[in-house]
Amino acid sequence: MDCERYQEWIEDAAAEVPAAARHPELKAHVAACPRCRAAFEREQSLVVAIDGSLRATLAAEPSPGFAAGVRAGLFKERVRPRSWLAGWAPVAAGVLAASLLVAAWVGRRQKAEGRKHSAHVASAVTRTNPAPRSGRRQRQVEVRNQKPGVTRGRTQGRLLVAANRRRRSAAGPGLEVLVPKRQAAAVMQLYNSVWVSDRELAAVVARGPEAASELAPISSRLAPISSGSSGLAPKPLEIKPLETPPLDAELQPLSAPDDAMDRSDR
Amino acid sequence: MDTLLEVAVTADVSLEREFEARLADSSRLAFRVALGVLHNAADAEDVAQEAFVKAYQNFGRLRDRERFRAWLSRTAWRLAIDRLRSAGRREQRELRAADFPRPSSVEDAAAAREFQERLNQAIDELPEKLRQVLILAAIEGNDMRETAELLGIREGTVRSRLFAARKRLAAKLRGIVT
Repeated sequence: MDCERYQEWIEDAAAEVPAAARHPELKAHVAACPRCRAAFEREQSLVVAIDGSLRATLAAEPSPGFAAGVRAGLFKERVRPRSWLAGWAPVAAGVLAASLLVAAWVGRRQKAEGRKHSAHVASAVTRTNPAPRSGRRQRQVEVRNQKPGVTRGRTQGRLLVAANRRRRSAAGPGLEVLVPKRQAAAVMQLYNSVWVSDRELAAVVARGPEAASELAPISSRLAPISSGSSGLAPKPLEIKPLETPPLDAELQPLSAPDDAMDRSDR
Repeated sequence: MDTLLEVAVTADVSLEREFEARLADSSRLAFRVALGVLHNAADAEDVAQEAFVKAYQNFGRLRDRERFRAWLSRTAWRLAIDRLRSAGRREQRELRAADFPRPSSVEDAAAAREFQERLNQAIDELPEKLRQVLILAAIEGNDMRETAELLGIREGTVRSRLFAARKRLAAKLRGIVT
């Protein structure tokens, strides 16, 4: 009889929960084979001893003083001296954390404002003048304190104010624009009128010959704004007649190719 | 630093009473769970007491009070494991005659002691999942369903883990029992 193949079955059957020889084949073999029956009984007695020993161990009762010890521990927990600071520690921690958060938020906000202002200051005013001998030549109106690269872009060749779209940004330090002397008044007037009317400078200038006539009605809007109703303090505007050569005379038409500018940037 | 003696009086008296009721109901469970891990009654009492203090501290925050026994048994288990792992605890541990049934003769006593020591060692070497099931199922009054509830697992899982634990223990203790 091949008893070896039943050995593992016997072990499994003895450890089974509840212990029983479930397999009919094993049951029949154990009934017929005295050796395997003895092995099965040995295995079963081992498992019974294990269970019995464990149950006997875990049936132990705690000592009579156990309940009193538990109650004493709980009493200590109920009546526990605490530092008066202990109660305030979470509050203090919360206040500190909130302060740090607020400080961080304010710091970030100020940084962001500074970045916006820089963008405003760096508003690029570029112009392109025709160069008689070397073809197109870019003459850039230089802006101090500007980020590198801000004035670059596909809109070069147009007179533009890139970031001067927020009136509140005018509250910062003044804008320093270097332009040819003869065009300074016109640029200043254009800048102020744009600042007051919240219109894009490019939109005004790009109109070409009509730009000059646009200036009068724009500047006339200054009165209600400078009266303080808006709460802003606009820069003083000097309204002068355009003594300089008309600005639009030097402007390139809108359809001027940009690729020449792009090449000069490279 | 100035300190004030603050008497922590729980405002909710009914909560206190409920805890008292559960304390009476579950004190043996905590002790026996700890005993199953530590094999030492004095240590098990310390751990059970500690578990009750923790239970008291967190009782108000326990959402499902019906799960108190399961929560307590897990706490006692974890505390007992921590104590077992503490330095030197394993070496200092010894079986106390008072903790186990007294054998009828000196030979029986020696054999029983050896078997018990080997059994404890084998139990300690079991994976924690198997050991938990084995001990909780061996505690009086815990059937498969109760063990499954205490551990938050399915009854079938308890059955298969118990089978695996028994097989491993039998493999280690075979040869001692003849």
